[in-house]
Amino acid sequence: MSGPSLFDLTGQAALVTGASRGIGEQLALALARAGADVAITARSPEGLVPCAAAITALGRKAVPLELDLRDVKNIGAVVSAAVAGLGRLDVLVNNAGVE
Amino acid sequence: MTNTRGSLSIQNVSLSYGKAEKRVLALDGISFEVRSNQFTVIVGPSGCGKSSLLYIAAGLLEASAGGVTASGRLVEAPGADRGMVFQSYTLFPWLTVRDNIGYGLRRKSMPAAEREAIVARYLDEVGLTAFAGHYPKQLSGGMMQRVAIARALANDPDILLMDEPFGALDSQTRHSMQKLLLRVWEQSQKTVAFVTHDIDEAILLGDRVIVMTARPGKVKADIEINIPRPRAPEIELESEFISLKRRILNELRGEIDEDH
Repeated sequence: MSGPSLFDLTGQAALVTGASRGIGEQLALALARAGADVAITARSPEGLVPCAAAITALGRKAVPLELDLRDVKNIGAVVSAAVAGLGRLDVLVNNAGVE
Repeated sequence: MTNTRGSLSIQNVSLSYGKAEKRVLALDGISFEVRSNQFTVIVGPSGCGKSSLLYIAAGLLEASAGGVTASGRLVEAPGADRGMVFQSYTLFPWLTVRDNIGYGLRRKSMPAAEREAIVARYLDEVGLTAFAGHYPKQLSGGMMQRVAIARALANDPDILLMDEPFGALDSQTRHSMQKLLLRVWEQSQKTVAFVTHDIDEAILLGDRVIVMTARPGKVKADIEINIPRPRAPEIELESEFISLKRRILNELRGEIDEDH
Protein backbone atom coordinates (compact mmCIF):
# COMPACT_ATOMS: atom_id res chain seq x y z
CA MET A 1 0.00 0.00 0.00
CA SER A 2 2.04 2.99 1.17
CA GLY A 3 4.93 3.60 3.56
CA PRO A 4 4.39 4.34 7.23
CA SER A 5 3.26 7.83 8.10
CA LEU A 6 5.95 10.19 9.36
CA PHE A 7 4.15 10.71 12.67
CA ASP A 8 1.98 8.44 14.75
CA LEU A 9 -0.88 10.44 16.22
CA THR A 10 -3.10 7.50 17.12
CA GLY A 11 -5.45 8.43 19.92
CA GLN A 12 -4.78 12.15 19.56
CA ALA A 13 -7.17 14.85 18.45
CA ALA A 14 -6.48 17.81 16.16
CA LEU A 15 -8.30 20.99 15.13
CA VAL A 16 -7.62 22.44 11.67
CA THR A 17 -9.13 25.78 10.67
CA GLY A 18 -9.92 26.53 7.03
CA ALA A 19 -10.09 22.84 6.12
CA SER A 20 -12.64 22.93 3.30
CA ARG A 21 -9.99 23.04 0.57
CA GLY A 22 -6.35 23.35 -0.35
CA ILE A 23 -3.61 23.10 2.25
CA GLY A 24 -5.99 23.00 5.22
CA GLU A 25 -7.89 20.09 3.72
CA GLN A 26 -4.71 18.17 2.94
CA LEU A 27 -3.31 18.88 6.43
CA ALA A 28 -6.52 17.53 7.99
CA LEU A 29 -6.23 14.41 5.83
CA ALA A 30 -2.54 13.99 6.71
CA LEU A 31 -3.35 14.21 10.43
CA ALA A 32 -6.11 11.62 10.01
CA ARG A 33 -3.76 9.42 8.04
CA ALA A 34 -1.31 9.62 10.95
CA GLY A 35 -4.07 8.35 13.24
CA ALA A 36 -5.62 11.51 14.69
CA ASP A 37 -9.29 12.32 14.96
CA VAL A 38 -9.82 15.75 13.43
CA ALA A 39 -12.16 18.68 14.03
CA ILE A 40 -12.28 20.83 10.91
CA THR A 41 -13.64 24.34 10.53
CA ALA A 42 -14.63 26.61 7.66
CA ARG A 43 -17.09 29.42 7.06
CA SER A 44 -19.39 27.13 5.08
CA PRO A 45 -20.35 23.88 6.82
CA GLU A 46 -21.22 22.32 3.45
CA GLY A 47 -17.73 22.95 2.14
CA LEU A 48 -16.36 20.71 4.89
CA VAL A 49 -18.34 17.67 3.86
CA PRO A 50 -15.88 16.13 1.34
CA CYS A 51 -13.00 16.52 3.81
CA ALA A 52 -15.11 15.03 6.62
CA ALA A 53 -16.04 12.12 4.33
CA ALA A 54 -12.39 11.46 3.51
CA ILE A 55 -11.37 11.56 7.19
CA THR A 56 -14.19 9.14 7.98
CA ALA A 57 -13.08 6.86 5.12
CA LEU A 58 -9.64 6.76 6.74
CA GLY A 59 -11.30 5.32 9.83
CA ARG A 60 -10.91 8.46 11.95
CA LYS A 61 -13.55 10.63 13.53
CA ALA A 62 -14.32 13.96 11.84
CA VAL A 63 -16.12 16.84 13.54
CA PRO A 64 -17.03 19.53 10.98
CA LEU A 65 -17.70 22.92 12.58
CA GLU A 66 -18.85 26.20 11.08
CA LEU A 67 -16.51 29.03 12.04
CA ASP A 68 -15.82 32.46 10.63
CA LEU A 69 -12.65 33.54 12.45
CA ARG A 70 -13.69 37.19 12.14
CA ASP A 71 -16.43 36.26 14.63
CA VAL A 72 -13.98 36.28 17.52
CA LYS A 73 -16.66 35.66 20.13
CA ASN A 74 -17.57 32.32 18.54
CA ILE A 75 -14.07 30.85 18.66
CA GLY A 76 -14.44 29.61 22.25
CA ALA A 77 -17.69 27.85 21.47
CA VAL A 78 -16.14 26.11 18.45
CA VAL A 79 -13.16 24.90 20.52
CA SER A 80 -15.59 23.61 23.17
CA ALA A 81 -17.57 21.80 20.46
CA ALA A 82 -14.37 20.22 19.13
CA VAL A 83 -13.40 19.02 22.61
CA ALA A 84 -16.94 17.75 23.19
CA GLY A 85 -16.89 15.87 19.87
CA LEU A 86 -13.42 14.37 20.16
CA GLY A 87 -13.02 14.07 23.94
CA ARG A 88 -9.68 15.95 23.92
CA LEU A 89 -7.56 18.29 21.82
CA ASP A 90 -3.80 17.87 21.29
CA VAL A 91 -2.96 19.62 18.03
CA LEU A 92 -4.06 22.99 16.62
CA VAL A 93 -3.38 24.03 13.02
CA ASN A 94 -4.13 27.73 12.53
CA ASN A 95 -4.47 27.48 8.78
CA ALA A 96 -7.44 29.72 7.99
CA GLY A 97 -6.84 33.28 6.90
CA VAL A 98 -4.04 32.39 4.47
CA GLU A 99 -5.13 33.47 1.02
CA MET B 1 -40.53 -9.24 7.44
CA THR B 2 -40.54 -6.35 5.00
CA ASN B 3 -37.33 -5.68 3.17
CA THR B 4 -36.12 -2.26 4.26
CA ARG B 5 -32.49 -2.96 3.32
CA GLY B 6 -31.35 -0.26 0.95
CA SER B 7 -34.36 1.95 1.52
CA LEU B 8 -33.93 5.59 2.43
CA SER B 9 -36.54 7.62 4.24
CA ILE B 10 -36.27 11.41 4.42
CA GLN B 11 -38.58 12.55 7.21
CA ASN B 12 -39.48 16.20 7.54
CA VAL B 13 -35.87 17.35 7.23
CA SER B 14 -35.10 21.02 7.81
CA LEU B 15 -31.71 22.68 7.81
CA SER B 16 -30.72 26.16 8.83
CA TYR B 17 -27.31 27.70 9.36
CA GLY B 18 -25.61 30.99 10.14
CA LYS B 19 -25.81 33.10 13.26
CA ALA B 20 -28.63 35.26 14.56
CA GLU B 21 -29.92 37.77 12.01
CA LYS B 22 -27.90 36.14 9.20
CA ARG B 23 -29.61 32.79 9.80
CA VAL B 24 -30.64 31.08 6.58
CA LEU B 25 -33.28 28.38 6.20
CA ALA B 26 -31.81 26.03 3.57
CA LEU B 27 -34.21 23.09 3.72
CA ASP B 28 -37.80 23.34 4.85
CA GLY B 29 -39.57 20.15 5.90
CA ILE B 30 -38.48 17.76 3.14
CA SER B 31 -40.06 14.30 3.15
CA PHE B 32 -39.84 11.46 0.63
CA GLU B 33 -39.12 7.76 0.50
CA VAL B 34 -36.56 6.08 -1.73
CA ARG B 35 -37.40 2.43 -2.26
CA SER B 36 -34.76 -0.29 -2.30
CA ASN B 37 -33.07 -0.61 -5.70
CA GLN B 38 -34.62 2.62 -6.98
CA PHE B 39 -32.55 5.23 -8.82
CA THR B 40 -33.83 8.57 -7.53
CA VAL B 41 -32.54 11.84 -8.95
CA ILE B 42 -32.90 15.14 -7.11
CA VAL B 43 -32.85 18.32 -9.24
CA GLY B 44 -33.28 21.92 -8.21
CA PRO B 45 -31.95 25.44 -8.71
CA SER B 46 -28.49 26.11 -7.29
CA GLY B 47 -28.59 26.88 -3.59
CA CYS B 48 -31.79 24.88 -3.03
CA GLY B 49 -30.04 22.60 -0.56
CA LYS B 50 -30.12 19.43 -2.67
CA SER B 51 -26.51 18.58 -1.88
CA SER B 52 -27.06 19.34 1.81
CA LEU B 53 -29.91 16.86 1.81
CA LEU B 54 -27.56 14.18 0.48
CA TYR B 55 -24.95 15.06 3.10
CA ILE B 56 -27.58 14.68 5.83
CA ALA B 57 -28.43 11.22 4.45
CA ALA B 58 -24.71 10.40 4.48
CA GLY B 59 -24.49 11.41 8.15
CA LEU B 60 -21.97 14.14 7.33
CA LEU B 61 -24.24 17.05 8.14
CA GLU B 62 -26.78 17.28 10.94
CA ALA B 63 -30.37 18.22 10.19
CA SER B 64 -31.78 21.08 12.27
CA ALA B 65 -35.07 19.18 12.48
CA GLY B 66 -36.41 15.87 11.24
CA GLY B 67 -34.25 12.92 10.33
CA VAL B 68 -33.25 10.26 7.84
CA THR B 69 -33.43 6.51 8.17
CA ALA B 70 -31.37 4.20 5.98
CA SER B 71 -32.48 0.57 5.81
CA GLY B 72 -34.85 1.40 8.68
CA ARG B 73 -32.13 2.75 11.01
CA LEU B 74 -31.76 6.38 12.03
CA VAL B 75 -28.71 8.00 10.41
CA GLU B 76 -26.44 9.50 13.07
CA ALA B 77 -22.98 9.17 11.48
CA PRO B 78 -21.38 8.07 8.22
CA GLY B 79 -21.50 4.31 7.69
CA ALA B 80 -20.21 1.72 5.23
CA ASP B 81 -23.83 0.95 4.27
CA ARG B 82 -23.94 4.33 2.46
CA GLY B 83 -21.30 5.07 -0.20
CA MET B 84 -20.71 8.64 -1.28
CA VAL B 85 -19.37 10.03 -4.57
CA PHE B 86 -18.63 13.76 -4.77
CA GLN B 87 -18.22 16.12 -7.70
CA SER B 88 -14.46 16.24 -7.36
CA TYR B 89 -11.57 14.22 -5.96
CA THR B 90 -11.85 12.59 -2.48
CA LEU B 91 -9.27 10.08 -3.70
CA PHE B 92 -6.31 9.63 -1.41
CA PRO B 93 -3.38 11.23 -3.28
CA TRP B 94 -0.80 8.99 -1.63
CA LEU B 95 -2.44 5.76 -2.80
CA THR B 96 -2.46 4.18 -6.25
CA VAL B 97 -5.71 3.64 -8.14
CA ARG B 98 -5.71 -0.01 -7.01
CA ASP B 99 -5.18 0.88 -3.34
CA ASN B 100 -7.77 3.68 -3.46
CA ILE B 101 -10.39 1.22 -4.70
CA GLY B 102 -9.38 -1.43 -2.15
CA TYR B 103 -9.06 0.93 0.80
CA GLY B 104 -12.42 0.26 2.40
CA LEU B 105 -12.03 -3.49 1.91
CA ARG B 106 -8.64 -3.43 3.61
CA ARG B 107 -10.22 -1.66 6.56
CA LYS B 108 -12.80 -4.44 6.79
CA SER B 109 -9.84 -6.87 7.13
CA MET B 110 -10.94 -8.80 4.05
CA PRO B 111 -8.45 -11.52 3.02
CA ALA B 112 -6.02 -10.24 0.37
CA ALA B 113 -7.02 -12.67 -2.37
CA GLU B 114 -10.70 -11.80 -2.05
CA ARG B 115 -9.93 -8.10 -1.94
CA GLU B 116 -7.71 -8.26 -5.01
CA ALA B 117 -10.44 -10.08 -6.93
CA ILE B 118 -13.01 -7.40 -6.11
CA VAL B 119 -10.59 -4.58 -6.96
CA ALA B 120 -9.73 -6.27 -10.27
CA ARG B 121 -13.42 -6.63 -11.08
CA TYR B 122 -14.19 -2.94 -10.53
CA LEU B 123 -10.98 -1.80 -12.26
CA ASP B 124 -12.23 -3.71 -15.27
CA GLU B 125 -15.79 -2.43 -14.86
CA VAL B 126 -14.63 1.20 -15.12
CA GLY B 127 -11.98 0.43 -17.76
CA LEU B 128 -8.94 1.34 -15.67
CA THR B 129 -7.10 -1.97 -15.40
CA ALA B 130 -4.12 -0.49 -17.24
CA PHE B 131 -3.97 2.37 -14.71
CA ALA B 132 -4.07 0.29 -11.52
CA GLY B 133 -0.59 1.40 -10.47
CA HIS B 134 -1.07 5.09 -11.27
CA TYR B 135 -1.56 7.81 -8.66
CA PRO B 136 -4.58 10.17 -8.78
CA LYS B 137 -2.49 13.15 -9.93
CA GLN B 138 -1.54 11.17 -13.06
CA LEU B 139 -5.20 10.78 -14.07
CA SER B 140 -7.68 12.99 -15.96
CA GLY B 141 -10.81 14.27 -14.19
CA GLY B 142 -13.00 11.63 -15.83
CA MET B 143 -10.63 8.86 -14.79
CA MET B 144 -10.58 10.13 -11.21
CA GLN B 145 -14.37 10.02 -11.10
CA ARG B 146 -14.29 6.48 -12.46
CA VAL B 147 -11.96 5.54 -9.60
CA ALA B 148 -14.30 7.26 -7.10
CA ILE B 149 -17.27 5.29 -8.45
CA ALA B 150 -15.31 2.02 -8.46
CA ARG B 151 -14.22 2.68 -4.88
CA ALA B 152 -17.77 3.34 -3.74
CA LEU B 153 -19.09 0.20 -5.49
CA ALA B 154 -16.23 -2.04 -4.28
CA ASN B 155 -17.35 -1.43 -0.70
CA ASP B 156 -20.74 -2.89 -1.66
CA PRO B 157 -22.89 -0.26 0.08
CA ASP B 158 -26.66 -0.73 0.24
CA ILE B 159 -27.15 2.88 -0.84
CA LEU B 160 -25.08 5.04 -3.16
CA LEU B 161 -25.26 8.81 -2.61
CA MET B 162 -23.94 10.77 -5.60
CA ASP B 163 -23.47 14.54 -5.47
CA GLU B 164 -23.17 15.91 -9.04
CA PRO B 165 -20.52 13.29 -9.77
CA PHE B 166 -20.16 14.36 -13.41
CA GLY B 167 -20.70 18.09 -12.88
CA ALA B 168 -17.05 19.05 -13.35
CA LEU B 169 -16.49 16.99 -16.52
CA ASP B 170 -16.58 18.12 -20.14
CA SER B 171 -19.72 17.04 -21.98
CA GLN B 172 -18.13 14.20 -23.94
CA THR B 173 -16.59 12.65 -20.82
CA ARG B 174 -19.87 13.20 -18.99
CA HIS B 175 -21.75 11.22 -21.64
CA SER B 176 -19.38 8.29 -21.44
CA MET B 177 -19.62 8.37 -17.63
CA GLN B 178 -23.43 8.33 -17.80
CA LYS B 179 -23.29 5.29 -20.07
CA LEU B 180 -20.89 3.60 -17.68
CA LEU B 181 -23.07 4.35 -14.67
CA LEU B 182 -26.19 3.07 -16.48
CA ARG B 183 -24.43 -0.17 -17.36
CA VAL B 184 -23.01 -0.68 -13.86
CA TRP B 185 -26.25 0.26 -12.12
CA GLU B 186 -28.43 -1.94 -14.34
CA GLN B 187 -26.30 -4.87 -13.13
CA SER B 188 -25.96 -3.98 -9.44
CA GLN B 189 -29.42 -2.37 -8.94
CA LYS B 190 -28.28 -0.56 -5.83
CA THR B 191 -30.42 2.15 -4.30
CA VAL B 192 -29.10 5.45 -5.65
CA ALA B 193 -29.84 9.03 -4.62
CA PHE B 194 -28.25 11.23 -7.28
CA VAL B 195 -28.09 15.03 -7.21
CA THR B 196 -27.68 16.99 -10.43
CA HIS B 197 -28.72 20.26 -12.06
CA ASP B 198 -28.69 18.61 -15.51
CA ILE B 199 -32.24 17.67 -16.53
CA ASP B 200 -31.17 15.41 -19.41
CA GLU B 201 -28.95 13.50 -17.02
CA ALA B 202 -31.79 13.22 -14.49
CA ILE B 203 -34.23 11.68 -17.02
CA LEU B 204 -31.61 9.45 -18.63
CA LEU B 205 -30.52 7.91 -15.33
CA GLY B 206 -33.50 8.06 -13.00
CA ASP B 207 -36.50 5.90 -12.18
CA ARG B 208 -37.85 9.03 -10.62
CA VAL B 209 -36.99 12.73 -10.50
CA ILE B 210 -37.66 14.87 -7.45
CA VAL B 211 -37.78 18.59 -8.27
CA MET B 212 -36.93 20.96 -5.45
CA THR B 213 -37.95 24.60 -5.04
CA ALA B 214 -35.48 27.47 -4.70
CA ARG B 215 -34.30 28.19 -1.16
CA PRO B 216 -35.68 27.23 1.26
CA GLY B 217 -35.74 23.86 -0.49
CA LYS B 218 -39.01 21.92 -0.46
CA VAL B 219 -40.25 19.08 -2.67
CA LYS B 220 -42.04 20.69 -5.62
CA ALA B 221 -42.72 17.69 -7.85
CA ASP B 222 -42.09 13.96 -7.79
CA ILE B 223 -42.05 12.55 -11.33
CA GLU B 224 -41.87 8.88 -12.34
CA ILE B 225 -39.62 8.15 -15.33
CA ASN B 226 -41.18 5.12 -16.97
CA ILE B 227 -38.76 4.83 -19.86
CA PRO B 228 -37.76 1.16 -20.22
CA ARG B 229 -34.23 -0.04 -19.47
CA PRO B 230 -31.60 -0.67 -20.60
CA ARG B 231 -31.36 2.97 -21.62
CA ALA B 232 -28.87 4.72 -23.84
CA PRO B 233 -28.27 8.47 -24.38
CA GLU B 234 -30.11 8.21 -27.72
CA ILE B 235 -33.44 8.21 -25.82
CA GLU B 236 -32.91 11.97 -25.41
CA LEU B 237 -34.37 12.36 -28.92
CA GLU B 238 -37.58 10.45 -28.20
CA SER B 239 -40.89 12.21 -27.64
CA GLU B 240 -41.47 10.68 -24.21
CA PHE B 241 -38.11 12.01 -23.08
CA ILE B 242 -38.78 15.45 -24.50
CA SER B 243 -42.21 15.74 -22.86
CA LEU B 244 -40.71 14.76 -19.48
CA LYS B 245 -38.01 17.36 -20.03
CA ARG B 246 -40.59 20.03 -20.78
CA ARG B 247 -42.51 19.13 -17.63
CA ILE B 248 -39.43 19.31 -15.40
CA LEU B 249 -38.25 22.55 -17.04
CA ASN B 250 -41.65 24.10 -16.36
CA GLU B 251 -41.46 23.09 -12.70
CA LEU B 252 -37.97 24.59 -12.45
CA ARG B 253 -38.70 27.73 -14.45
CA GLY B 254 -41.18 28.92 -11.84
CA GLU B 255 -38.41 28.58 -9.25
CA ILE B 256 -35.67 30.37 -11.12
CA ASP B 257 -37.96 33.29 -12.07
CA GLU B 258 -38.77 33.94 -8.44
CA ASP B 259 -35.12 34.83 -7.92
CA HIS B 260 -35.24 37.79 -10.30
